[in-house]
Amino acid sequence: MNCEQTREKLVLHRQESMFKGNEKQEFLEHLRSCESCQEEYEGLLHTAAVLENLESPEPPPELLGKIQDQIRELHKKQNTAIFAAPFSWIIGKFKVNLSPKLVNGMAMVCYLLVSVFLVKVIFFDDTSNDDFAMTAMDNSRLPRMRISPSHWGSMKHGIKPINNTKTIVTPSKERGNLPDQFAGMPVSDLWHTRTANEVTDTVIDGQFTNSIRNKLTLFWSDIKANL
Amino acid sequence: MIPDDVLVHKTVEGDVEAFNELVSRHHARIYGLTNKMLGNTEDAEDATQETFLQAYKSIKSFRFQSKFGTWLYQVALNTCKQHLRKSKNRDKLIEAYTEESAARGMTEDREIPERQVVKTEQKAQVQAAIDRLPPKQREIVTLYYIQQLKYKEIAEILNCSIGTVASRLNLAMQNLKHKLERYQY
Repeated sequence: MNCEQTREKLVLHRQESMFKGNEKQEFLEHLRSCESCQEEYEGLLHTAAVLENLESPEPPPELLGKIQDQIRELHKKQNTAIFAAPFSWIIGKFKVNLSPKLVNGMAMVCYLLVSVFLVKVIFFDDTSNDDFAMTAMDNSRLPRMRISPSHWGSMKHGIKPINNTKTIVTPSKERGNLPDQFAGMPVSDLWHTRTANEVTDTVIDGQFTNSIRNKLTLFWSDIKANL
Repeated sequence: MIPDDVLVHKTVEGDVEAFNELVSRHHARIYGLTNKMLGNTEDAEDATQETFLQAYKSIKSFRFQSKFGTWLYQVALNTCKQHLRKSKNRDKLIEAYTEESAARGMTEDREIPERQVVKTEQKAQVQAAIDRLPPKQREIVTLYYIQQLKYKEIAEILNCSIGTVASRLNLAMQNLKHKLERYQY
């Protein structure tokens, strides 16, 4: 083994498995006989000793907690559904630590309740139960106006306007002394004909309005008038 | 103590605290590696955090073919490489690191003088010399001499043969010795 081959093996001298056959023997023989390689070897040993003596730096004490918090945060983000993100954000503001599954569940329940409410308002708006509107109408300048259930409300309550119904047309003379315009709307839009169920609906004047918008407008204008 | 592999399984099943236990076991060694690779404490902290976040994100890709610690070293080295690529002002980093490591050496000297075999100044010089090695040589020196891993583990981490590890380490040591001679070491 020559100097070049020996120096290639210097760093490996402690790894027995890195020598093949009698390479280790040849390596040691060359080292004993070559002063230059001995110097090289000693230098290398010294460097290795210094390196081994270098202690691995200790991490700052707060680093562990910081990493663990970040992992928890990442876990929450990864496991919170997109639709539940606003809930997670709000809960986070209160510094409450809830599991992502619970947040997802809460979000689903909330969305479900809101959906049921919207469906009810849009499709099952039973105005006969609209107490505040009734009160408003009772005290309004249109006391003879009657609030009837909506079409969907009639269906919901099983009102079948087939046999016991009649169509009531409100003659213009029965409208009283109302102006042509009321609350910014033509009176003819507010007063109109409807089919009523004589069994379930008591027809007082045969005057109906079904639009929630109209009723609320009247309600609001009455409040303003009373003020 | 629960083995690492069991904790990895639990993490995959959604137990975040199992992963945090792994963090607590390995963060010191990963910090040691990133510190030596990047040369300053600030970058080392960032890289350590990124390593664990990255490991958590890709834990499902861990195939149990090696130790979890070995896989984590791979993630850490990749993170360090990204940091080094980003680091444009490299010379400034080295300078800061040399000063910082000298200061740290002095602190250690005061705290545990009996453990100081090599003089503080020499230590700082060696640190600086390591830092001036090319990244591939620096990582192998760090893994072998400072992290004290075996050739086989290093080969797994670096995804190369044991022969490559040996030759790279040989080259790194020659290089390091040459650099230290310049310091009149």
